[in-house]
Amino acid sequence: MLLFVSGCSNGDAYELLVSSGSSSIRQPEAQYEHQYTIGIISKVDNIPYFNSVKEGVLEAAERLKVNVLYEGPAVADAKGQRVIVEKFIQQKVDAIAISANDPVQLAPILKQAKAAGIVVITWDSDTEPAARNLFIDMVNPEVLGRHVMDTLAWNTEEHGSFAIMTGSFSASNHNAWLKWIQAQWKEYYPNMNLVEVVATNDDPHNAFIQAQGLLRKYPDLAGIIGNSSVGPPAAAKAVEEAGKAGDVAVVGVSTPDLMRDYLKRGSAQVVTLWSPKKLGYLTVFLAKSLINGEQPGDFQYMPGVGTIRMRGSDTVIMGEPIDFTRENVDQYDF
Amino acid sequence: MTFNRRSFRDFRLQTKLFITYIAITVIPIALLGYLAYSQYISSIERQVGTYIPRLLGQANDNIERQINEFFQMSDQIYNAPMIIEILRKDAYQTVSAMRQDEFTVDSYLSSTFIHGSQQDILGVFISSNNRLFSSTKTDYFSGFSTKEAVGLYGQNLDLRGQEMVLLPNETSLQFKDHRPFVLIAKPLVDVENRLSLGTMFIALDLSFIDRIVQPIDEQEGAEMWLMTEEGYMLYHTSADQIGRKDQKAAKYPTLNGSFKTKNMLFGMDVSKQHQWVLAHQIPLGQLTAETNFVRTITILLFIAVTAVALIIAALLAWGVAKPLQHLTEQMKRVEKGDFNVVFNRQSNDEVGMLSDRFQTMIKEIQGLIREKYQIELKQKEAEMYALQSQINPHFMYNTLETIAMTVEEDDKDTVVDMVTILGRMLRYSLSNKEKLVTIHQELQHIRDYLTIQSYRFEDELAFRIDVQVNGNKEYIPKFILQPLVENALEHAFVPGKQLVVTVLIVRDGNEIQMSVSDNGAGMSKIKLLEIRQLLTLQTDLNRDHHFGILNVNGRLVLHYGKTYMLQVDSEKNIGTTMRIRVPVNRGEQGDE
Repeated sequence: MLLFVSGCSNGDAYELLVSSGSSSIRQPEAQYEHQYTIGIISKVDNIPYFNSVKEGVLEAAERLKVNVLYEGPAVADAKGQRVIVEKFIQQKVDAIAISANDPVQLAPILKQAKAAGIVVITWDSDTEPAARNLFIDMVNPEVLGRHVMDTLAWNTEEHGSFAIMTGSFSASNHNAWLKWIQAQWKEYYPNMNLVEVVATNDDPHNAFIQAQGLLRKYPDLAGIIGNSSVGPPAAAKAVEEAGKAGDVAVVGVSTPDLMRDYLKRGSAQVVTLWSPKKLGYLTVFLAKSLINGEQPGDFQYMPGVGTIRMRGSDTVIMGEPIDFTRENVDQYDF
Repeated sequence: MTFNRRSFRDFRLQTKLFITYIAITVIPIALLGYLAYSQYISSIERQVGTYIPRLLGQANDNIERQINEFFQMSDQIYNAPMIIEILRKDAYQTVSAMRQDEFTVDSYLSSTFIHGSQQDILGVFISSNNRLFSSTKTDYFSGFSTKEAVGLYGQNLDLRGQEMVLLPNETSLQFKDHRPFVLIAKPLVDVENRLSLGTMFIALDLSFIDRIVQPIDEQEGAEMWLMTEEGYMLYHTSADQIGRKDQKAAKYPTLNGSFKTKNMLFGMDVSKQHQWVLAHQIPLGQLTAETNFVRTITILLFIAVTAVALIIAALLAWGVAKPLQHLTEQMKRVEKGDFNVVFNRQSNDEVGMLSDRFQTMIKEIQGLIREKYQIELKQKEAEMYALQSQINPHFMYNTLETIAMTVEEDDKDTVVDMVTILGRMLRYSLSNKEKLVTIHQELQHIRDYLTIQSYRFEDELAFRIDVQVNGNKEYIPKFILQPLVENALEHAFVPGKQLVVTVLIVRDGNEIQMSVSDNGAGMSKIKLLEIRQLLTLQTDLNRDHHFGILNVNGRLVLHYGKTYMLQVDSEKNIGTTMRIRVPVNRGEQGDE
């Protein structure tokens, strides 16, 4: 009836039949959002690897509109990190993401942070599972460890003795890789011989001295594996200085920036890594997600990162490792 | 019901019944039918209005999912390290090196996207560090150039890392055949180096929307279009509308639901991501096309039922009104005095009962009237009889005087005769019981009367009585002749002339005719007329004036009817004759 009446006066009259919600479902953009503060702790301050991570962290902070505090101890040990964690707890940050130097020593303070309602994430290097909510691993340690062993084998023609320069004997990621390097060695390369595993403590100077020592100690050394980012540059530098470039293969885990010149000069053959920038970005991204109560899922697509994998319910694997060689190292700037 | 009650009350019963019947049958059926139909129509509209937006919502979701798939498809490029390596470069030392890279990327785009499984991709463009790589299905122009802009946005297009969908009106890209398209723009990011590699654009043929909305749009006359909230139509089922603006977009009452105009039903749904409005319109007539057949059948049925109802109503009304009309006519006849009405009772209903009652009532009334009439008749007769039965005092006085004179003359025999006759006459008149007497008895009385008068008038009076019937068998009312004779003696005497009174009684068929004639003074014609008039009018009885004949006449009329009234003939100086008739033997029955 209404239609008829109004229809007489105006042929364009509309009679509403069904309506679900308002005509516009656009939500106001300027929604107030509490800005989270996320504390990121690296293993050690001011080495290129962690500086690259920091770049990714800062990019994410800007993109995701969160406040980040990025700190690392002057020396790569648990003590320095614990101080930073305590400080962050006092600052009442929303999340702490740490690359733990020692899984056991740091556990109590991290548990304390968890108890204070802080989301605790470990990245790069894990602690005891109970001490954190999530661990972000860059790559599958088995894949990385076995691959690094393979790259050495290719460059030594599966013969000769080699040494490993690991970061520290306490860092869980280093230990995991070390385990899988040795597993691959024992499984496939009987003609090779591991002579020594030394720790660099993620100190470039110390690493260099260690490398020199190895070259002196084992004159017939066929290759050196650097198990943390400071290892391969130190080894390459020592090889160069010893005039053994090309004779002693240098492979391992390090950044393209650190290794570019050595790769090009032939004093190092392959280094393997992931994008520490991406790691930094993903860490902040996941920290924010967890604060918001969102758990990551297997094969989930992360904007700006790609698809992630899950191992178990509390370990994220960021992606696959990248090999840097003389040919492609220029494509990367970290 | 516009007529007022007053006039309705004045309608004939037949009309009232008819109208009432129509009012309680046809109007409710019509209303019911109309309501049912309109309810049905509006329920169809509501149903369609509910499910169309739902379908549109699904279609919209599918469109967005499809677009998202295209976005995801562009991620394939990350799996081609060679291409990523080229995109990472930003400077070339030689033209040929650049051309080589361009060739590599273009071939990759062509083989991956243009000749891939996706037929909806019209073209793929990558702008990266002042380079443009492209592969398209058809020629395009005024769009990208390596040096200039990419679309309207160009080098400076800042997607802020967001995937975007650009509509044709937001770019200057145009394909040769003016094919409608949408352009999806995706920033390419070097996730490892955290740098931008450029932007990838994929031009999509709208046929994918076609495929999605086709199942909804099966009905004839329906139209669908996809527009922005501002009304820019990026897709329309009729291709010529694509790219135009829906002028009514701002007026639509909802973009998430359905509404209708007088003859169109609109359904709309807003997509969640892009806020695109998928609209659908269909003529209302299209929806109700199937119902219209049912409606036509219903209307025909309704007309048939109405016709039958009207006939039944007319018959019913007629059936009620006709007997009443008949009754009314009969009542009118009764009113005019005709009690011989016939009611042919047709039914046992109230009308029939009414007829019956009426008939009974008429009979009752008729009976009562007859009864009352008879009572009056008898009263009158009795009264007249009573009056007549009295011996005239003048006669008594004159007789007694005559007797006295005779006594004086000492004529004993005459005295004895006279007293005897007088005694007989007194007895006759006192014996009032029989109203009818034999002719013989009445004649005896007349003879007695005349005899006594003869003693008085001696030679001046003579009389003759001639009876040609059996005087002992035939009955006549008592005192019917005596007043006539008395009247003759009273008026007819002419001094010096003998008065002869003749009484003649004859039989004529079934009647007895009696006449009393004299040869006396007679009556003038005026007088005769006056007398006749008095007899006809039967005015009040006047004892003094012509009482006798009027009484006789009255009794005759009461007893036998007007045809048996007294006849008077008279001529001046010649004489007067009075005739009366009575039916033969009627007296025996009338005596009761």
